[in-house]
Amino acid sequence: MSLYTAFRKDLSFIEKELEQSVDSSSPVIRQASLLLLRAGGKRIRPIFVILSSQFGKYSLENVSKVAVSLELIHMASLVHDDVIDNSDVRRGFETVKARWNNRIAMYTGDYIFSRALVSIGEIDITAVHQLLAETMLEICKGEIIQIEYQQQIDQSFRDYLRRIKRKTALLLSSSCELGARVSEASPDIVVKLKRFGYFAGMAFQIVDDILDIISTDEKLGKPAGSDLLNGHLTLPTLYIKDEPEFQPFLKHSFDGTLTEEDRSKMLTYIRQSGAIEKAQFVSDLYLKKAVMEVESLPDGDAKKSLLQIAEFLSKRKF
Amino acid sequence: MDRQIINRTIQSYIREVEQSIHEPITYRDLEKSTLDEAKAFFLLLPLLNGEKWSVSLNTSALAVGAVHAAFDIHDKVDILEATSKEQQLMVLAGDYFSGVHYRLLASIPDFKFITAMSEAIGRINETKTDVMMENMASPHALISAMMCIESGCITEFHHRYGFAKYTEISRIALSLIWLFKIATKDPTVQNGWRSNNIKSTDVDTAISILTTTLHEELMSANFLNPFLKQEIHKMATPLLGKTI
Repeated sequence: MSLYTAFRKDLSFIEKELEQSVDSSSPVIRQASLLLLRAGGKRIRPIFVILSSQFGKYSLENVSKVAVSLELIHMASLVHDDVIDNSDVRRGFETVKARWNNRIAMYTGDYIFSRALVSIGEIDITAVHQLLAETMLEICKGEIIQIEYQQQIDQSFRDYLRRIKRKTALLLSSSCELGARVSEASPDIVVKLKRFGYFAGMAFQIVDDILDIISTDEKLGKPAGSDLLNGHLTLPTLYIKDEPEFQPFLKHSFDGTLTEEDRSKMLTYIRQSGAIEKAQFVSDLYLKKAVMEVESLPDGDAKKSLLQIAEFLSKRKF
Repeated sequence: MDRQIINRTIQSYIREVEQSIHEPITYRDLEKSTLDEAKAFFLLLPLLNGEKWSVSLNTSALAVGAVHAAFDIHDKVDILEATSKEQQLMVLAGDYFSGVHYRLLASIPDFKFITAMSEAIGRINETKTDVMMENMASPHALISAMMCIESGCITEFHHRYGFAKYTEISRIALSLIWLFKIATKDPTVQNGWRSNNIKSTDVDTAISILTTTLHEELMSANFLNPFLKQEIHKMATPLLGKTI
């Protein structure tokens, strides 16, 4: 049985709602938004909303509004990230900034963001809006701090964890919390789901950072090692940043002079350094914590699915 | 009512918006951009004209200011190359300001205005994109686009809080101000949102149409303080009678 089987129907409904919500009157924005939607993605945020909502009074209508909003916020941030990182390819598809230009990417991102708020605007629960607003601001602050840390070698393990918390874990944690809140789940369940989302998000991002190094350009849909090329130290590279053999790779990645041959050598070096295993260990620790939270939830299909997702997150290859 | 009161009200509002959107890193590293005083004036026109104002109304007005700040900074992102730290921070600062607008409205909370403002923000971005990518078919198409871009959020604010009678004057005046800036190659427009698809003949015609319409609107706006009428006239038609 596929991981998606239990909630495929609801996810398909949300997928259609996503398409409708960005059905812009502007041909360029419509095309750009559909390009993004069709590039796919794991839809992990909508899935977390669906499953978390099942611990309360489930209403697909409300779930869909929250899920659409969260996925659109994620999409909008990717469009703007591509401007910041000057990325031409994402998930194997041409980026909005590459097909048109930065200005169109800015307008498209802002448009998608506005549609996210239109979707959630129909939910009249104050706590939902306040939580989402705070989450968005924290994510922005995280990205601003990431720019501050860009090309800085003097970073600690704690700096990295704080960064990925804001970059990824927060939105996943909020996806669970919002799903639970919109279905009026009990306060203790809301807290458990929020914590699950946070721990799963931390594990998810660490695995993402590992895949950036161990996967291939084809599977990633962008050059392997992109994080370093964009000036970002991730967990595997934090472990080896001070090794003299690694320093030249780091220097050339950061100043943009790394050749294709050296990129390949650099990736091999990191893969053989033991850093990947160490990072995987940290990811597994977070995952264990995520599983512990789920295990304390009431039994049912949603609980089973969350456990399956936790399993998938730890073993995913894409 | 005199110019001092107007200035004091606008400056106090701008300071409040700046405090709301303050973010230490972007504040330290980005060139300080000032909020558009003309937009602030028209947003606050009901207040200046003595309409009843409240704390939640003020919060909503600040949210509109945060959106304007987001637009302004995103319009400065370079069309081709945004990889410098300054440009990267501009992208993120705009996103942050948008988040502040949402937080402010969520704090009231005004769900209807969250939706209405978001619809307006969507339309403004669609229009900016269309103006950038396609030729404007006529001066009327240009006017319609300018009205949406320059006053879309202010219009929503006026409608939401029972100030609809101020909408038309604000739409016309703000469009005129922008068109005059285009006609005179004002640097604030050169650094902000712009398009190469606007014909100068259309700009001239649009100015002429809007000047007449504004005059008529002001004549019939019996609810508006005469001093404010004069101020609007001065702001929106600064070059009237002069050679452009």
